[in-house]
Amino acid sequence: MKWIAAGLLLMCASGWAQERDVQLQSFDQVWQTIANKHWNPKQLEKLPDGSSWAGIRDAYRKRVAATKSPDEVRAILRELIAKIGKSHYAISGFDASRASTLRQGGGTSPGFSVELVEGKILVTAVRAGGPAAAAGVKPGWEALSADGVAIQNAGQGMLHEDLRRHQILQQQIGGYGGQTLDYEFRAGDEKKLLRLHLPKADGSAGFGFMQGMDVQREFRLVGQKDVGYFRLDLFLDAVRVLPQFEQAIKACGACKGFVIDLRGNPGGIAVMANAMAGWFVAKSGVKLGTMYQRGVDLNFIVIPRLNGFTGPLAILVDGASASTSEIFAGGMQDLKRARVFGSRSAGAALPSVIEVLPNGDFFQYAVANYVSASGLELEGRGVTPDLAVAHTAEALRQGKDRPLDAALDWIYANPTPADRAAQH
Amino acid sequence: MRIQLLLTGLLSTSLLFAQRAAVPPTGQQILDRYVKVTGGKAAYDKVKSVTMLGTMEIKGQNVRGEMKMYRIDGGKYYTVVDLPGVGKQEDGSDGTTVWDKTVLGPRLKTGDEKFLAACATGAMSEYQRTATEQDKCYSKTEYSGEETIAGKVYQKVTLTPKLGKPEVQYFDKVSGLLRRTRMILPSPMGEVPIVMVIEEYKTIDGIVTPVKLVNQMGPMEMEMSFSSVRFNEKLPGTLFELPPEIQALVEAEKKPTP
Repeated sequence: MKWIAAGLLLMCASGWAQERDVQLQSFDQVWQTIANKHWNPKQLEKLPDGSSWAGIRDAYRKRVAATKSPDEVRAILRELIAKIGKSHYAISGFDASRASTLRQGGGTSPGFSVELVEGKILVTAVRAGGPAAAAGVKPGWEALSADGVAIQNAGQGMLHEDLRRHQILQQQIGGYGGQTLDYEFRAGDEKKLLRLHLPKADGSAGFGFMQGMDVQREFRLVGQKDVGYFRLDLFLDAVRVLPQFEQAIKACGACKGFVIDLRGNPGGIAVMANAMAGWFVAKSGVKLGTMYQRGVDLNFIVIPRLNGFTGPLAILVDGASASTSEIFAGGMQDLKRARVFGSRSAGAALPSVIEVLPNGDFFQYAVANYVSASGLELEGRGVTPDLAVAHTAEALRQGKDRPLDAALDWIYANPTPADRAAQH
Repeated sequence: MRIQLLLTGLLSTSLLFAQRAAVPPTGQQILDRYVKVTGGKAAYDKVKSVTMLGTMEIKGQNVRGEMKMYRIDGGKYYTVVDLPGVGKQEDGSDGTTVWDKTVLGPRLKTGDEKFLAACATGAMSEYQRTATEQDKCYSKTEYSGEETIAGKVYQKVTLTPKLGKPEVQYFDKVSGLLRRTRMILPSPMGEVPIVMVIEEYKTIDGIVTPVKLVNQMGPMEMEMSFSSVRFNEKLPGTLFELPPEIQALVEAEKKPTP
């Protein structure tokens, strides 16, 4: 028995020794990729903590060589890339030690979203036609548990805290298509236990390694049914989303205004922002900003579409609107073509790519800096709304969406068609 | 003595040869050699249509789509790349209007971009315009010396287009084949420096044709690989007609600006 146990131990040890080579290759790939592809090598010479990318390599490599599990390697790699102090650097893989702390549902939404409002995790939106709406879930309810696991606030102290909190909260309430989950809410003094049947995945097309995510979007008329409202949770599935967006614009030719809701949208395919912007811009040669890569600077140009929408445009953002959302909102704000409502966006605006490491983990890294047309770096700064307005618990309970209401107030008070030329 | 003479003769010959070798080739000689080693002008002249079917892949990013290219004499071409999650990215010309229709929307090409896309009108002009229609596109051809890359010696030719920035072509000194082109492409996003590497050629109907190419643009690499290349296939004329969105742009341009 001892021999068998010793043999197993040896096998494990030998297995990890081989695995460790793979882990070292993964470390090398991460370090070298950033060294080769960071858009500004000067920033690597002096990292935010005063060290240099070249200077920290050996110490981190030694630590990886001494690890005993993939989780340890992952933690070291995360620590390494955090040294850069920017968004869009991530190592993702199944992390055994973290799996039990918070519920990790799938990417299918139960038809409602939650945010931290006044210290509580409240339902902020219920999607029409979704399972939550059918079960009677209301905005303003406190979300207590999903599938028997308490929903917890998280993300405190992390880089881009609001964005991370939003993602972790949605992950806790999410599930898999076709799954039935029990949710517990508090509505006033009353607790409500509701069983929701999550819809089957809608077959949204991913891009590259960004796969398996449902792209939630909707178009409807709001206000006095004369303002177009298009909500997009992810900039993916361009094949279906962009034609639907085009249909929305065409259906809204006589609308008094148009609202694009990017709250909670963490980004996706960057050029979708340019494509959508084209429906609101009449002048050629405008851009949403510039992407600075090593050796190539690319303008985020906007190609004006024929018969676009010329009325007032409002864009809704919050702390979980990131990346492509910020490029769109910040760019359109810069062009003075839109007014932005809500709360400051995440400030995580670096164009990035994702690749697979030799150990099977995914490695996301930024390949460019994004600077808006007016010369502002949105990374770390975010888009500042023209009108800052946030949810309140009381307003949610009354069924009000304050940022959307503020956008509608502006649209109804705004420009006559004659004034609109100034926006182009 | 004979040996000495012979040696002297050999040395003389060697010296003469060395002197001849020291005279650099002209850019035109290198281009002419390329035409010759890839099949010769007569073979090129027989090609009236080209069909290339394959894939385009963004390397390392799990992005790969089907790619089809069609080109006929008269400056008519149509290229479509269907990328999963993004959709069809199209590019074409009916011989007059040069356009593209990408995720950004439909667009008419103008200026340098239009010139470089349309200056060569032959069926072989996608990757072989230097060989077949040099005079139409370039005003100057210069030999720019040798460069060794990964142990291989390349002869460089700098070609200055009649409109646009010069490009440098690298020809394998041994085989005479074009292996890479360094250029700055005009695009609506600005000027984009690109290195196009030809990784593989195949002989098709007597013409040595590029079938695997990698475009390096900043940190990204795009690989185009053609599993099927056919010459002189009958292609429907409708393939090169302007799509409705492009036709609408053409009509809109004709209207006077209010």
